[in-house]
Amino acid sequence: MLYLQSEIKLNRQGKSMSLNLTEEQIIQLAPDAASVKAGKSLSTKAKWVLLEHSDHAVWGHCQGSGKTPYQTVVDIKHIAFKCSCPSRKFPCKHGLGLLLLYASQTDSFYQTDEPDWVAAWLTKREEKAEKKEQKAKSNAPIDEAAQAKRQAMRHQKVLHGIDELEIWMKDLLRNGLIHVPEQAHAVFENMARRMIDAQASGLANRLRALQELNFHADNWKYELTDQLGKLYLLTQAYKNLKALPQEWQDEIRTQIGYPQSKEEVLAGESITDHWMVLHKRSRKINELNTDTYWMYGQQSRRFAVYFSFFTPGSLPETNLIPGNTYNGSLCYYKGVENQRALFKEYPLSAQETFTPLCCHDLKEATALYRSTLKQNPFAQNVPILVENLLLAHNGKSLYAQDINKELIAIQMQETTKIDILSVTGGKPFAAFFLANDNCWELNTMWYQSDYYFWKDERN
Amino acid sequence: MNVTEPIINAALLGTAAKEFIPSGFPLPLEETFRHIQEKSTDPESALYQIGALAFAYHRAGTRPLTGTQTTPIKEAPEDTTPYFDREAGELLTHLHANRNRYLLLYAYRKAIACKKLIPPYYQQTLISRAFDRTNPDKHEEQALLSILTGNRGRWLLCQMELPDWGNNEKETWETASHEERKRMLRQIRKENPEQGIALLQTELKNESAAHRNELIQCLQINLCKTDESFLQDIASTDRSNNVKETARTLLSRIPDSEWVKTYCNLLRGKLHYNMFLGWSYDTIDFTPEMKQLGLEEISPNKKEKDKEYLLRQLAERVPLHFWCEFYNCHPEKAANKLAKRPPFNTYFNISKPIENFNDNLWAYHTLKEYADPARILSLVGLLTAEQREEITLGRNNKEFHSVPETWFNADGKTWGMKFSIQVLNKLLQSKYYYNPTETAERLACYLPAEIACWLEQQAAVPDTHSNIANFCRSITEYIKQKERINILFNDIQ
Repeated sequence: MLYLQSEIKLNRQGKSMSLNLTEEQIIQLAPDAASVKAGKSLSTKAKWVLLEHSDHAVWGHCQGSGKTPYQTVVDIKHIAFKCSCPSRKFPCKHGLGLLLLYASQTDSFYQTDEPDWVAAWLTKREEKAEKKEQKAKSNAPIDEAAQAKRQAMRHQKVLHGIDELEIWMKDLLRNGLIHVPEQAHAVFENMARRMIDAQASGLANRLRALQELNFHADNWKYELTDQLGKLYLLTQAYKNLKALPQEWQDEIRTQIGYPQSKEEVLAGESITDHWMVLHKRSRKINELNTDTYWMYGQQSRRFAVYFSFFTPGSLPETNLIPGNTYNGSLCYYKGVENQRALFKEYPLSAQETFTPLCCHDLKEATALYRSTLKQNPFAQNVPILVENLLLAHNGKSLYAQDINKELIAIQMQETTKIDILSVTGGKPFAAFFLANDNCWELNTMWYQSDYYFWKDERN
Repeated sequence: MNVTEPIINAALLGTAAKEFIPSGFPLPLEETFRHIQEKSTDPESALYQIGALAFAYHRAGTRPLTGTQTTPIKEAPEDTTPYFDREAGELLTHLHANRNRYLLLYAYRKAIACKKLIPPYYQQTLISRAFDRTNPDKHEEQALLSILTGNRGRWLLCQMELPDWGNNEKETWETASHEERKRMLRQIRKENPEQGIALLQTELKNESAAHRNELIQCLQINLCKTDESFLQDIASTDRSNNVKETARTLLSRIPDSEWVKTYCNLLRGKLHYNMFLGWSYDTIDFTPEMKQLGLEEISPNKKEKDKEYLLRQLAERVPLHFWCEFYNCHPEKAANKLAKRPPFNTYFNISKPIENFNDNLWAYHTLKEYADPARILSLVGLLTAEQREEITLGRNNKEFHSVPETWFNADGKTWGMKFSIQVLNKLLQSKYYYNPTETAERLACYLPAEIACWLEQQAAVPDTHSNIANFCRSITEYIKQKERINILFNDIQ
């Protein structure tokens, strides 16, 4: 479904609450769609025999099918749930219902002191948090020798893993890739697990991405050969790591799966700008909710990618709204033209939004794509902004056509095409693409300086 | 040439099956491939490196396509009619998202009066809904959206590969499907009844009996004296008995038709009423002519005399003016008298002729005189909003489970306060507590805004069953939404 930026703003303003959570944000806490539905049905006063709150928590008694009502409590300062129901889902429908009800009808809750069962739970939580804080504060001196030893051990482990991967890849190619689709799951998953053992999570992710290829699509052969080639190149690059320049060393290490610590990134040079959120993608990866934001700096004219990870049932540290602009300083990760970045300070202040500077035509856009890949052949999802586009089709294939009548194949659903047409009426528009080899994915568009986007969520 | 294709093929086959020999590539690339092969320890390593290079080479040549045969999408024609504000579009899509079908139709009807169009951004969602096969209101929504979406909507339909709104009945009647024809005929009958007859006369004989029957049934919309000759013709000449029967039924619904006059003539002088002795009846012999008129000789009820049954059938087929003549008084008085003391005891169903002739005045005077539960259910739908205010629906509410479909007046006019409270009381006092939210939404379209206070009071009464309280709150919520629609679409009320 297509969203207009002003609609989102309206939603946020219209449904803002003392809790400072929008209904949409509460829904994000739900483990699945069924819980959202059940939670919504419980967000009416009639379902609750007791509704009370304090400055710290909201609690209530929900009459279930049994004689004794369920006791539900939500910590509204640091969102957390507790319920006496037997549901294995977390948060359960009662917790969600209570929070939704509090969000929409705060007046229905009677302010009072916390009863024993609520106070006990809150105290326990506070104690846990204190312990965690103390542990974090205890700055034990870093044993550099031990750290170097650990790093050397890891390097050896990765090298062993790469050796195994190389043998396996050569076997695969010797036998021919034609047999891969029928055994894709087992083939890649086993080796991905081995790479996890070898502490090369980047390689494991690449193998899992191969496993996820659509082997029913026409271009699987292209994708598979290309990705295997890149994987091999990466293993060879790691083997020759010391011969590479520093930025390439950082890039290859990151690609292999070495993390760059937050402190290390934030210690680097920062770029202060007005950052517009071009697109947000939400995925559940390895049981972890991952929000990816593509951003664009108004003055620096640089793209940035910001990742936000959070566990199911918790809220993300930062929830940026597509189409909005935030004033802040971004620190980029080390690497070759690495676009991944972190915000130096929070909270971010919202700014008046702007229309980003776009490539005038597809010639300019493809040149930008080529130059990005020239600098870093491992780059994927290259962000590109182009204006003056029209839609054209050839059978079921869709193309974006620029003012010079030049085309680029684009990837989007039929409904997206209709969404674009319903807004533009067939007139030129600007778009944000995530460019890859065979197709450019259209995710966001501007028409008459209004920003429109499609939700990109898959869990 | 495509530099990746030979490498993909080699990789698919496997290096064990066939050695990859680079040939036909651009010269610098081919030389580099050979160099890689020479330096590599094994063919697999070489092929992987060659692959990585070839794909990078391929990407380095990414340029926009030229000369590809594509069809550009044409611009939408401009609309001269202004668009509503975004808020109106948001409201309509919100109603759609919440599946508020009655409020959405209500909003569409209100919007039509404003002579403005739905903003383009919101049109697609609403058009998709109007063409959803599971949508029970799809035809009405399509008719309303054809006006509310303007040229942009028509253009969008084409892009969505949906059929046109179908406003050109004359042009498409020939090619239209049976269902479409029925819809078109109903629409024409509403606007120009005579044109409907003309349309039917053209091709009716070529249709199957079932289709003929269904098309003729459409004539009950705005049925009048001018349809009589056509229906007479069908009743006497059609090949199908079912079609004949439908034509006869329709003829018997025209109060001044020859058909109804025959009923009146047969019944005239056969009924006698005395204030003290009550009703008495003359006997009448069953003739073949009566059989042709659709009358039955033998009563299905063994307790009823066949002679009286024959007269009762006739009495249930005559219009109010027959009873005016019978009682020798004006219609109001005749209706009152008949309602108060009808002939043939309990066997006589007064609702039958009233419904048959769709006689609003007769229904009103009958219900005003005596509103028994059976009469209420069938006749209230015939009354205007003002007339409903003057009748009492009775106190037996236990068996009132739902509001009959006919009570929801097609003109959408808001009910009066008294009638609204009576209907709600009936629903709330019903022994079945379950009232779906769909009913609440539909009722809200007809209830006056002032009833919200009364509903809140009902919900707040101690010991009120939670279902009733929820039902009252739901109606109140929907009424608030209706008020928002009224404000947004410039309601003058």
